[in-house]
Amino acid sequence: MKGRKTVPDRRVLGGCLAVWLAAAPLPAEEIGFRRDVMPVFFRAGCNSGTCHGAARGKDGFHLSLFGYDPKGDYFRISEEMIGRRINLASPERSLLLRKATGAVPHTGGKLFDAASPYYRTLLAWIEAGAKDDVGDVPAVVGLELSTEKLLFEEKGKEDRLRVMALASDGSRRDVTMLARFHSNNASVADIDADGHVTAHAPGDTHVFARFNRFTIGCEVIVLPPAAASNWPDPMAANYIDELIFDRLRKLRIAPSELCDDETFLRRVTLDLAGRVPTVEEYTAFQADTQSDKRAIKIDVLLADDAFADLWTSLWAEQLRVMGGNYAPVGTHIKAADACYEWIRTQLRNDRPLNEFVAELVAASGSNLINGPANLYTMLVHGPQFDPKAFAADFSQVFLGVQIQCAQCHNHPFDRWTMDDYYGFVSFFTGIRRKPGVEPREQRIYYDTSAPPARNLVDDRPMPAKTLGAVAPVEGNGDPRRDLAAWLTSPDNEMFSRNLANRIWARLMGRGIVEPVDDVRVSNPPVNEPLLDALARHLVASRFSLHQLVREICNSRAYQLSAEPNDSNRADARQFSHARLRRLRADVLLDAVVVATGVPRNFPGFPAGTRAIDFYPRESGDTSGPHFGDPFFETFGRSSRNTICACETKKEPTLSQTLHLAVGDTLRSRLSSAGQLKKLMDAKATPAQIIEGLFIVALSRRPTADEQTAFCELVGASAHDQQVYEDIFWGLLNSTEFTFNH
Amino acid sequence: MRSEQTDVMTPRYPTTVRNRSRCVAPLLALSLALAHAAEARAGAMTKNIEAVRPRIGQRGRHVEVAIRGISLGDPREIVFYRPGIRAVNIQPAVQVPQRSYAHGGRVVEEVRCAFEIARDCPIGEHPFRLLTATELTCIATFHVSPFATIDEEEANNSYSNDTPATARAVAANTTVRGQIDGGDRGDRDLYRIDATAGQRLSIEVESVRIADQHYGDSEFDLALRVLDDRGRVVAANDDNSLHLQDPLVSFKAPRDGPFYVEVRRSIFVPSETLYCLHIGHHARPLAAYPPGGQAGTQQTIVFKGDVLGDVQQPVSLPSGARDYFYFGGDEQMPPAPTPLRLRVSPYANVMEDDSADETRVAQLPAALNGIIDSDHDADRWRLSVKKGDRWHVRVFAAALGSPIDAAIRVLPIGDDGQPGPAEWELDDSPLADHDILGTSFRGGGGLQEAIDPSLIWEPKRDGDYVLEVRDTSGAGGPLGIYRVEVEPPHSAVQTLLASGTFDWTESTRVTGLAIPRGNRWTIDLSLPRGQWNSLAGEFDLIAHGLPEGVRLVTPRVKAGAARWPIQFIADASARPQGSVFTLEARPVDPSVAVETRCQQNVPFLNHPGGSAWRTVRTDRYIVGVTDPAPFSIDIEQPSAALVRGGELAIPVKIRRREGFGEAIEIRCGGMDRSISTPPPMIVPADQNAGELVLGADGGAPLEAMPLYVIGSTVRDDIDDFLGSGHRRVSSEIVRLEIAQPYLELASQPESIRRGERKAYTWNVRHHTPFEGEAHVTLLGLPKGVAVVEPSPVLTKDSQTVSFELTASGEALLGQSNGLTCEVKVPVGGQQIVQRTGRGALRIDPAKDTK
Repeated sequence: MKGRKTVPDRRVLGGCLAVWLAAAPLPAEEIGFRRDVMPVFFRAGCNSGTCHGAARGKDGFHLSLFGYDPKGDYFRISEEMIGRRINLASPERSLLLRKATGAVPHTGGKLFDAASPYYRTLLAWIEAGAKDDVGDVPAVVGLELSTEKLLFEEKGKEDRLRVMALASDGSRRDVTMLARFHSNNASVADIDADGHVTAHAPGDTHVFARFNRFTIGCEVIVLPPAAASNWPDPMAANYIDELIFDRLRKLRIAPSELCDDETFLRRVTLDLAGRVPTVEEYTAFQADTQSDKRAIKIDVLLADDAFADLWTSLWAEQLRVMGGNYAPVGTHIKAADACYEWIRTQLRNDRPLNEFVAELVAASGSNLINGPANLYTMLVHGPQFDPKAFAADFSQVFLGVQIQCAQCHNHPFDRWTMDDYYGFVSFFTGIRRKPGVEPREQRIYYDTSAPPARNLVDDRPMPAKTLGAVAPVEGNGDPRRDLAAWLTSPDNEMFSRNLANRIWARLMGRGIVEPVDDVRVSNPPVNEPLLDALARHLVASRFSLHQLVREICNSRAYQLSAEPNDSNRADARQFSHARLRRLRADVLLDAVVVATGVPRNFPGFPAGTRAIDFYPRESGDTSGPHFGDPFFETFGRSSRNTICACETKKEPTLSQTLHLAVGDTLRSRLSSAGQLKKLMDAKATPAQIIEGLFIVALSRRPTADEQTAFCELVGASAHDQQVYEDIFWGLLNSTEFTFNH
Repeated sequence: MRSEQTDVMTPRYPTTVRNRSRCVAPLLALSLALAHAAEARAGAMTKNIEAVRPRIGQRGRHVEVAIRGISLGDPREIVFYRPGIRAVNIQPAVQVPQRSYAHGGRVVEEVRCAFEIARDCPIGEHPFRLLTATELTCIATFHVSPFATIDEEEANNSYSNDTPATARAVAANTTVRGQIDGGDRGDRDLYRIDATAGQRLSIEVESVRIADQHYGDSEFDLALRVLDDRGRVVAANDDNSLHLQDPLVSFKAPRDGPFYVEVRRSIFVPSETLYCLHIGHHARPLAAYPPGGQAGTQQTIVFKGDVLGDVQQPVSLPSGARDYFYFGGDEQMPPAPTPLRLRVSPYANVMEDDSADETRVAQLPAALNGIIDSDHDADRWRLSVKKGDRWHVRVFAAALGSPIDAAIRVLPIGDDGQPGPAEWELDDSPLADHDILGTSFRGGGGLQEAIDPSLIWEPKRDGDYVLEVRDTSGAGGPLGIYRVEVEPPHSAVQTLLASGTFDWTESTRVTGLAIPRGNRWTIDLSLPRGQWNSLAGEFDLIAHGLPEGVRLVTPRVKAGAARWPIQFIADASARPQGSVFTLEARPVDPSVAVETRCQQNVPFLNHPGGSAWRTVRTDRYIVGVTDPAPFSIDIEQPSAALVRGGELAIPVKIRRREGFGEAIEIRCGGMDRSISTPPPMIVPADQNAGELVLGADGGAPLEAMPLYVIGSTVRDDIDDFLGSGHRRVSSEIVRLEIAQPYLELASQPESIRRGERKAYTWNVRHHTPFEGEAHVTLLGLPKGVAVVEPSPVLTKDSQTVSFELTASGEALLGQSNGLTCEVKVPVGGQQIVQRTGRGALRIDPAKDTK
């Protein structure tokens, strides 16, 4: 159905759709509470979170958020305070109408007037006796937009979206006037309350329509003037480039040039090994004349344990691996280490990521012997296992989906219902922890007799059910086996796309869906074909992290220069040029150690431990945020207080600048027996020393201007280490050092 | 981690008691609770023996051993719990490297000796005590290896064997005594061993199991890797279900060449850790199936999990023991340095029928042997039982090193042939249900039984049941062996020396049996109940194996007693020697058959906070005769009973040896919870008598109970509570009768106005006649109200007693409910103090006279 997008519910739709009339006013006796009245509350914003849909309502009147509880809403309108909100004897005097029209003081102000169809619908319903629906009412099962893409050749152009609602009985109706609209980037294209879209500036975004519990999006592209772009037709190295360039061409954005070898070496070493290149690596790479030396370098770095170690750190951060000495909560250092080392072993063996996750999900037993069992002690730290908190974090980590909204109401911007949420929670209601055979040990097991979670609204037991499924999983054993099978199945696009998106984001500095852990209908990928292709390739490689990273790093897109051109300067989301990325706190610290040649020790770890191998080890319990080292706090390493991707801060701050400028991290390493001393001891010339410092710090030789300027600075102090320390200090304090570019 | 030199405990010193405590009855319970709290809040964890070096020696060899600690002067004899080692040439060391530990322990003395290890000495752990001229130390251990032992020889923190290039070469069948040092780089020790392709190498580390440091955390947790000459990991292990934190690996050499065995920490801790590394070609099975058999038979057992494959081996099972630790020992399975635990039962094995959904058990008792062979396997056993039967159903899985975490269900089979709702579902059982007593550590104490189920099952109906065994941990596989022993509960008397101190340190005051020649010593033996049939009647305790000249004197044990004093008396002519002995409970009714068990469990590696990693267990006791003590103490049989709610003073006489002029601390032995005892009392050097006042609460049992008093020398530097370095004796054991009060007083609520003088009369109810006059004091009067002296007196004929009260103008207005009377009754020359009655007095304003 070209040009028209249908969303949602795969559970019911099928067969021919009858036309569901709605444009013309309905006879009063045909007005239904769910079908007609509640959409007015939705459209007018009465049941939004800032009004009566708030958890405790507003000004004494509560409606369920966006109408997830029609039965309760009917009760509160018509029966909670009989005669107050609905006046059957004199329908026009109903408070419901008088408030909405501003006839009496209303915190929400006037929402519509008496001439509006919304008023007429409500009035007619009250006049007909304000009756509740009888029998089964066809449920809305999906939405359809009049188009799924809007392309504007120039700013100022307009178009209009129409929204059709599909019902469980096969009928459809135009609900454009009952839907609510919003744009993800109004500066590119805006949408008004009636679905009119206006192009404002070149770029791409999505606009959305919401009705009932569904959200549907439409991509909007506003093109720059044709004269501004000149497609350079770069050579695609692989499918990634094809899909990115296809997108860029449509957007009339030209990608940047390929980066040079020095930049590539530094970028890929930071990304794959978590450190800057050594002098030896730099020299060897520069001397290598093979045409495929970049691909070879990528393979060398992938084969090095440092790659797995870096990814171990990233997984451990997501899974909140922290160790303490308060054994009863199961997060003793020993347990944390068992978990950490298990992750490291899987990644060093490039174990298929779906198997890796499946073992985590279904793990039981000793948290000291069976490392993955610590998923159930680490992901949510606390003396009691909390299935709800765990389920929310679990879906966020492994699916990138935030379902916790559905704990209290259907998700307002996604498709998840309370049934989905509580069915998912039930996978974990049987998780138990018990003491083991030594003080540090907790044993994880699943109590199959544990009752399932219950729906908050009607207290229905909700047997374990995978997200989006209609029926619960079968079997009366540990349902996590079914969960693991569903979650990690090659057919589960949510899983493979989430992994692919996170891996992409790690290497490219931004997810195709961003933030990576907030995947929802209203936050679509900026290049869906690319995300699909990455996910497909991940599945095809049997979920090999190495292979997907290899493909990404070998793409031209990864190797593009960070230097923008005139057409892509404003692009921040379509990967038209390399993104400047401040180094992660741990990578920055390891980069300092490699560049200076002076190690940095951490409490609780042996001397020589790399920052990427460090995780917080605390005395006491681990329920609070822990950075483990002040450097990590300053430079925004995740405190592991939550599993949110937002925990890792990548923004530069003044305190970071001051720390590098005057703090101990750099100062104490400049004069020690490290790289600088090695250069001095080699009795090199000032030019050679300066070049050496550039290579260790920035992985490049100085330009002629830089060389001249620094040689002048050294002047007659050729043997004064202090001068070179100053230069070294300057290089390490440059943004070129602290950023990957 | 506590640092060295840090004294983490507050020393607890006895209080000098010069005036008798006059506690009131309602405070008895409180004071009792405080007394227990004080016991738990012991001082520094001072032990006699802090270190035994080396920790291991080869059998058939002589090993020079150093025993370090405090109060080890004039060493005489080392008494081992098991045969196989003889200690000779026991001498005090001249030069002693002094050391202090975080837990308060110290090394200031050292004993040197040689251990002659017999060729047939049992492999493994050998607990012992050292007998000196003045005391019998706490338990220490030494280990025996079948292999030649060598030392690592790495200088402290030198990192000299941390690379393959500097690895020390070792031959197969060697035990290396090594140490992971505390340097900041993290020590690792590498050993090179050459092997040929296809050859098996089995490597095992003992670290936690040989640790003798009192406190520890993860520094004792080591890990093991084997690298080939290209640096690739050939085998690795950290923790495992067989040896918990101590790693083991077994691998088949993929080719000829050197292999590098790396011992390192599981977690970095800058501390020193001793270990033994066993490297050999021995088989290293990880499980046995069946994991046991019938006593006195030859059972064919498949040893599973060895890298070269399963080995089927006939094993002769002993008769008379329930556990058999099998090390191997023939050509097919040369002895390994560590064993597999097998179970021995007086009844036959039943094996799981792999071809059927369930295995029928023809008769009970029986030992059911099965394997949970996958992560979703559940085994079902069909049993026929009768309602009213009692069956002890005990699972051995983790206890045998199996990786599974067994849980069971017992389901009746209904008339439709289908299982009904479970009568029993059980996952774990407390250690006490596995007959491991006195180990209320917070963790499992390294005792794997902690996660096996055990229950007494009384079927609710006749007919068939299904006993289902499953694994909660998903660790099922070929090694997921288990054994369920189903038998009638035993009839047993369990005796136990339970320390019960903070962190369960062994206190020689509580559990030590050093008997001074010509004197007595008494301790309280615990008699816990468990999953066995306890003896219903009284019994006598008989000791077997006491040294010549030592006898056990103990009153007949009351039925149901939870603890009972046992007193040892050494003749003046007894030779100073120690011996291993056992106790026998001999029922008064000779027709009753009962098994007697002896047990002591001592944590050897405590995790701060009252939990242990490692528990040393013994099944017999050791007593030792020391030189005469410098004093003895006596008490006389009380002539009066201790009445409920009353007090009774126990005079203690001290007889000092000529020239002994030190203070002595006296205290009561353990008493029933309903009897309060005063804090320890110090009798100054110039006095030879003291008095301990007992109190009984209102619910104290009306019966006779044993009473004794112990006396100890006093040291400022070592806490008496933990025992070491003190000379101790006890009094005779006397009978303490608990009786009803002599009389009871009761009153109606009364009132008095400010400024008024008024009589307050109490009615008297007599229980036990007495002669003379009893003085009565009214306690608990509010401020401003006083009794007009003299206080009244009572005789055996008094029906009432009246106090003349006055209330001042400032008397506290309102109701006072806490009034009671203290009565001093003259009995047998003593003033027996008892409290009785509850009164209420309301204070009203003065009458308005205007």
